[in-house]
Amino acid sequence: MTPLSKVRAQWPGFTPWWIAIGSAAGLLNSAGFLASVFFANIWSAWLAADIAREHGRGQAMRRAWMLIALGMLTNAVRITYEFGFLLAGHIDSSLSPMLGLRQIPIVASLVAMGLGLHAMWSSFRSLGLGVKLRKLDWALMAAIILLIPPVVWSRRGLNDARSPFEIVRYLQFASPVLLAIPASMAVVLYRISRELGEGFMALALRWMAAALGIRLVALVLATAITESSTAGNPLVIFAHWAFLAALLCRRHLSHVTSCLVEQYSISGPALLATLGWKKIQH
Amino acid sequence: MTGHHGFAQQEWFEYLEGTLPPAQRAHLSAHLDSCPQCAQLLHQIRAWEQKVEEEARSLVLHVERHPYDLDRMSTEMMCRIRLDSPPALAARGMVFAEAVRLLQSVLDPLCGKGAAASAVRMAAERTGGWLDRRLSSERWPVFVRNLGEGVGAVYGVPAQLLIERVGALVAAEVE
Repeated sequence: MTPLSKVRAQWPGFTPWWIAIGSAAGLLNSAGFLASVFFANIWSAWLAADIAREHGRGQAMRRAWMLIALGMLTNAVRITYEFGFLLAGHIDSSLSPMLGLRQIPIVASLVAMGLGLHAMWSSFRSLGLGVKLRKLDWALMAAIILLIPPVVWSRRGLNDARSPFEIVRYLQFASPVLLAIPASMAVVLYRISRELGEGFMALALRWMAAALGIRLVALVLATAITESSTAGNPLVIFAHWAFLAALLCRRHLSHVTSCLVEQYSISGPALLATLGWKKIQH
Repeated sequence: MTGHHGFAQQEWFEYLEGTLPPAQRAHLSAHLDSCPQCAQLLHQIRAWEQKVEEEARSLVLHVERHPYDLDRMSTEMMCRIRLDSPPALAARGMVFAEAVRLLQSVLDPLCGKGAAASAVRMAAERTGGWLDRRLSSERWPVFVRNLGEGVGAVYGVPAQLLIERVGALVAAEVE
């Protein structure tokens, strides 16, 4: 085991610290907020792409992780775009309509995330998991959908809704709807995590479900408290870092599994000699 | 293969797993009510299964903390499992269900019990049917391959390799 992989083995253990440090940095100011979310997204994109490579071509799970990586990367691009405007002193789109074009990567990111999570669900269904949802799950998903119309209605007062670019106006209204899809998928992922029972994958799915749910809550909160555009910031930061935590847990699963494979490969004959198993009989 | 009081040994494991067909399950349940020997055997198998699960859990924890020491740890674990197996089972080789159970125990802490059980059930169905009892030692490599593919599709290549590795360890004893 290399020193690097030893550090990687410890990632999930440090997860709460990562989240705390990332969140604290993000709360300093607008630049800190963008930097924190950018860092979480870039790291998540890299991890998701790395996990995707563990799956064979054409597998639903590979597609899922690649789409999630794409969503994270697109989000990072959006943050970089916003950061440029922040440096120029244009922190809202009323001062610079061009800032409204951020809606394009926002929507692209949500579409990629939604498709990725759907592919992940399909993959779990192939193992017979997440096939049957409970009444509570359907009720939660209905509640999420019911939240959307008031949010869409409230957003007509936001700067992007008055953008001179027609596409920005449309996409601005589309983002709450598109955010509701991953949030609904969070309910499914949580159900699957319960069916899994325990293990790193279950933990990863729970972090993921928490991240997606909190992102929706942050959106609702930011829409409800119109006096402060930064009201949902702590939750947004937490959501992005919680998603990163999910990926760290999933990556750790691969690390432990690879370690086991290596050890079984090395000590196979020695193990056989001491097992004492005679044969498999029917 | 006849095991105990006319019940095949695989039936005992399937009874505990809850995969035994209802008619056979009712038959075995009725027998257990009237036969203290078999009730005792069932109790021993259940305790042994828990022991296997505990050992597998501690093995995974050990990998995280002291990966270099896994060789010794695995060897000791296997010895303890064999020593603790119920006397009625220890006298013969491993039945298919036992081998599956061992493979499942390795997967449980990594993939989650639900996923491991579901993957095993689906792999068994793909291999030739769990309930119609056509699985035998000859089908073991096919079963391992199916299980590896199923788990690998969701958990990635490392998980698939682990199944193939442990599966090969067990299969090497098949005559």
